Amino acid sequence: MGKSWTVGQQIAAGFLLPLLILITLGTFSYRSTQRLLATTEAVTHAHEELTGLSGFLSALDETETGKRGFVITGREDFLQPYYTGKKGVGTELRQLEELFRDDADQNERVKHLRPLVEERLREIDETIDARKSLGFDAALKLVLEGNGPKVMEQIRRIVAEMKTHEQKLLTERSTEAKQAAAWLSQILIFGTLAAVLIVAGVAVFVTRGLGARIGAAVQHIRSAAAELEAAATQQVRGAKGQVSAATEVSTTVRELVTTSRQISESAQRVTQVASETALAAKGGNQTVEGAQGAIDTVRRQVDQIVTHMLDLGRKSQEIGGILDIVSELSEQTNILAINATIEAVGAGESGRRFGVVAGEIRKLADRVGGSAKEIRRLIEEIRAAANTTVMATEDGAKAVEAGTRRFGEVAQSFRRIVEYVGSTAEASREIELSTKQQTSAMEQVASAIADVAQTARESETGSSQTLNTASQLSGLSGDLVRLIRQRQEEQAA
Amino acid sequence: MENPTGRRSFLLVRARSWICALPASSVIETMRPLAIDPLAHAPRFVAGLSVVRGEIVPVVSLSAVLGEGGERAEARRLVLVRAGERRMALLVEDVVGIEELDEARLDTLPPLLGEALPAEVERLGVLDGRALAVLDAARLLPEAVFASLPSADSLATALPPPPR
Repeated sequence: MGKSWTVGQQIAAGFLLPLLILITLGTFSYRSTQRLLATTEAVTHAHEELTGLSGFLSALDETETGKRGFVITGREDFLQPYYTGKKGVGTELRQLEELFRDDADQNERVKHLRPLVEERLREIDETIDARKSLGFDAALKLVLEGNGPKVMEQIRRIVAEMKTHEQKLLTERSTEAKQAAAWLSQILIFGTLAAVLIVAGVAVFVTRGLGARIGAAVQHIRSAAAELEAAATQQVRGAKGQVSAATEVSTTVRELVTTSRQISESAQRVTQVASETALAAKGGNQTVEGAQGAIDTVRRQVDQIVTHMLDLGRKSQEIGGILDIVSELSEQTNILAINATIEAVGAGESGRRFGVVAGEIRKLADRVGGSAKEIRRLIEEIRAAANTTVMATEDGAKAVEAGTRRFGEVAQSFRRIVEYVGSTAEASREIELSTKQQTSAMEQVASAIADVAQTARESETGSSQTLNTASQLSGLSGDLVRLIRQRQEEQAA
Repeated sequence: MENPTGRRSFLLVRARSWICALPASSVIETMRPLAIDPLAHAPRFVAGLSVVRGEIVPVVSLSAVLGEGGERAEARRLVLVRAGERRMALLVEDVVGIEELDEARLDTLPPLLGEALPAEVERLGVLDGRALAVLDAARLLPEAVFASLPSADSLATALPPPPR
């Protein structure tokens, strides 16, 4: 029985071997019993044959006895044994033929026996007839002269042979029967013993194998139970953690729901504020557009101022040109006056008054020149002032330009603000909507979390039960291991 | 031109920081500066030649006469003077006017100062608290310079005609 055999195969093999032995034993026993029965039957048959032979001889003897009595006495009643014997001889002979039919030698002897018996019976009949009819002497003569004793001797010899043969057969069959009986009993004793031993051996082997296997399996179950226990413990812990986590999540979700509601309200407020802002921005845009119109007017006026100032500059320049002529004239007058004075000095006394006039002319020319210089200075100042004004105006114009651009940008900004505020309002409305949806989703999540917590609690209970079961299983497997070990120790002992 | 009171008329001109007095009798005319043709191998104070009313006259820069270097303002007037029988033109910064000055108040230069001042300064006076140099036109240009000047005909073709 290899180790690879299953327990079922081992047990089946363990049962099959004794069964085969029992079948063999039974077959042997049956056959031996049959033989014994056959032998016994043969013995009985031999006894019957012997009895038949004895009966045949005694019947033949009776016929002889009856003949002798009748011959001696002549009385009819002495013939009674003769009749009984004659009848018995026929019967016995038929029986003998019947009995020895299966034995060729004996059958042959029986066949030899019949003519002899018939001759004997005929001789007896002749004797009896002779007695009856011829009287005693004739009968005596027949007896004396007849070969009755020889025939009888032959018959007796054949019957003795047959008896000897039967005796021999009987002895053989008895021995055979005894041997068969002894054989049978030996087979029974040793077969039973061998079967018992084999069954015991198989039982020990299977028990040991099964014990080892079951022990290993139980050990396995035990470790599995321990693992299951550990797993169940962990599961219980996990379920507890899950329950607490679910509780925390539930709290958090409630807070989230509250926060979402607040966000929704804030978004509503933002929408409202955005609408107001959009209105304000539109108002601002209109104001800026009005301001832009005013600035355009200012720019036009500034352009006019610049034009006028440039005109003023040109006019001043023209005045400067005229002043140049005046200065030139005054200078030439001055030179002429000096020359005139020189001439007057050269003219002596008569030229003195002319010299005075020339001096006055020169003074006038000097004054004209001084005034022209003054005018020139003033005109320069005017031109500078005009230039400054132009520059300042141009700066102003530039500033106005920049202001216009700024206003344009501001207007653009206002339009963008309006757009953005519109987008903001839209976005905040979406936020509001989304937050409301989120709130409802959160509420669903909260209920789902509550379900999860419930499930976790149930799981915890289930895990506790599993833990208990695992503990019981572990205990049971421990008990099993102990039982198997005890058994093995007992067997070892 | 001398009068009994001893007062004479002078044309006062400005050159550098000096007020110079030219005797009015030697002054012919004042005018604006004319085109000046530079002259080679001339003394440093001779600016060149100009054609005044068809006559070639040497032009002397009074500022150069009175000193070298320093600030030199624009010469805005040309004074035509007599130097003996010849004529010459003086470039001055400005013509101040004609004044009658007392001869007595114009002293001849003391010997030490006379050496220190240019030789062209005849006398030194005071006008309104300022030093006044009386110039002798005849001394301003040596005779040799006049001799070396080209003739008017040769310059007439070389120089453009005067503006007046």
